[in-house]
Amino acid sequence: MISLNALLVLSAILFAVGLAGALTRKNAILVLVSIEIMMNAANLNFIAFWRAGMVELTGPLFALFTLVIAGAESAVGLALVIAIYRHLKSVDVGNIQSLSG
Amino acid sequence: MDIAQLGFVLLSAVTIAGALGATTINDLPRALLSLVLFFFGVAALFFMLHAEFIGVVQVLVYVGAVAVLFVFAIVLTRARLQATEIGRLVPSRVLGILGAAVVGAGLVGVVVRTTDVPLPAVAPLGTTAPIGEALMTRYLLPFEIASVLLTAALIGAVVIALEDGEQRRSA
Amino acid sequence: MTVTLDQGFVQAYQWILGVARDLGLPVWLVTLLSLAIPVVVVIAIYAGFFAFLTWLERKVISRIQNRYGPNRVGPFGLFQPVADGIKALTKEDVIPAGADRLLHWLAPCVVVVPAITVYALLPLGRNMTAVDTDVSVLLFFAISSVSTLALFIAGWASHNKYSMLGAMRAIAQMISYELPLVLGALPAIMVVGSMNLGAIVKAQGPQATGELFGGIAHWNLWTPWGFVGFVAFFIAGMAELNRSPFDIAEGESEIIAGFHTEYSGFKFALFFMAEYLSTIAFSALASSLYLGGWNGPAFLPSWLVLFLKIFGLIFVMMWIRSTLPRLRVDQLMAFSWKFLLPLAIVNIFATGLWHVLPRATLADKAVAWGAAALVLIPTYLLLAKLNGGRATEQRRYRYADL
Repeated sequence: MISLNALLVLSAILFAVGLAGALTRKNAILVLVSIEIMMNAANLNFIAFWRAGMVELTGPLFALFTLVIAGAESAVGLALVIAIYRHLKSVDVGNIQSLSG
Repeated sequence: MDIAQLGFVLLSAVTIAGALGATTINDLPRALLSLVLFFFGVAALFFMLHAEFIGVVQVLVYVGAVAVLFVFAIVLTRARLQATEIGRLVPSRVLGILGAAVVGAGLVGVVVRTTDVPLPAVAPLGTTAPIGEALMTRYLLPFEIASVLLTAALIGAVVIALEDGEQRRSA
Repeated sequence: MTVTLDQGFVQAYQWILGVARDLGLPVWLVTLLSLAIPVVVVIAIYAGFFAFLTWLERKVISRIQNRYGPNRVGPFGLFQPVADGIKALTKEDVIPAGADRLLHWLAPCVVVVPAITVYALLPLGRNMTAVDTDVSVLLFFAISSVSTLALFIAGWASHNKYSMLGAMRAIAQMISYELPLVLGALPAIMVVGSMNLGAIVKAQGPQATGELFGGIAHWNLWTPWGFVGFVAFFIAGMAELNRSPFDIAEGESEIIAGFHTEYSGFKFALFFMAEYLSTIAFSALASSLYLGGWNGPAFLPSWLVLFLKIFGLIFVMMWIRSTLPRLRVDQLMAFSWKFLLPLAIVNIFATGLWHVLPRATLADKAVAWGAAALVLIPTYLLLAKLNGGRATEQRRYRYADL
């Protein structure tokens, strides 16, 4: 059988990959992609803990709400990317610095 | 190694490969497809853990909606023409990768130190109906708030992405 | 156990597995066999169905347009699909110079997979569901939403502006019509209280033996919410399948052939096959949700009943295709967002009313019907009035009218 730790390690690896992507990618779309990966890794943890303990339905329900938030987040995030592209003609996060001190 | 473990190892490999592809491939559509592979891997893991409903919603929301949103963003920003390459390993990037590695190693370290629990052999029976019931009783308020949030996000996204009247006239 | 026509396939399947076990084959081989047989049979039968359907569509449309249609190869041109298949297989496979070769190859593969996978979820006859899950209706929509991405891959990889335009049109259309599609299926799920297609079909079956046409009276179609739901579901499904009059994604006269402009030979045949297989699967889903699925008169085997219902629905689609002109892009979007979607949402409210009201006696039934009609008819009239204004107004051309 699979053990809980195997799932947790997998989720930790996925989270680290997503984090590395979010910190290193230049394209704003790909930064959002990396954030989605991190959210999925967190969701995997919720389901894994629920499957190991199986008390109540908190795990799946939390995962469900995370999915809702992820959907809303990517919709607004990508709208922002498109709006920024229209102004700056670029989606490079390095170019978006008019607010930096 | 029994068949469940073999399946888990294969699925993990696919999922990690998808995540790595999405974060390292330079060509945007290919990175997006790699992300879709990752989404499918996670959905399959949910199915394996008997969370069928979450798995289905995962495919429906991520592959059916979020990935399509990314498609629109890619096309509308003509991102193929943009510099998307990871580029040279400038110090800030090295720092980013190092930081992520430290976080990952920390998480794995904590996990390894705890006592391991094998997953119960008995599969939970049909989670779909209980989830529906919980959403309509105990979790009704979060459910309603989530729908308000989605409506707000929908309107917000339209307002943000809409061209201003002046720009449209000049275009 | 007597062998019946109705259960013939199931019994043959059990018999083969029994023989395999008796021969002393290892367990994993028997398991593999038990998985492989339904897959092979379903793909073989429905691929044959697809070939026949291409011939039927051409024949039906020809008849409506006062032509003969294919009549050279075999009797009534019946072997035309074989000739077409050979032609597609032997044609040169052209890949455009600027194309992304990997993705160009991947798109036709990806587009076929969901079209075939959904057959696992459909109850194709009594005791004939390959994967019987709690969430089969939702899973059907989830799997078929993958084909949207395949169209994008095809359009992008071709590196051709018409392909890209067609792909973007297809994606916009499929996203817009997915909402009325799912909301159109929801009333049936609400009333039965299950997303399992088997349970939904069973709920529409005969409640006592000897009912007219195997319990035709219990079909979901014969309720106010069922009628509205079915119509919304059917229209949205036709748009989802890119069928005329919703075929702006591949409108030949506007953008050549849309996302599959740059595909030839066998790859084009795969796109074609995916389209027809999805049409058959969608018709099977529509009949399972609203037309009683495989329930039918006792003298017909259940799988044949479903076949006939699928054919009926596809015939209606062909009829519509050869009758109505193609929509404009703005009309298409407005129809989904301003008409079908609000109607489907109000229909859910009507379903709730129907579900709550008692329907034991005739008087109760009349009250329930009246209540549902009171919700649905004013909504329809209002939406029709609100949408009627600009959409039907004659289009003004700046120069041509002078």
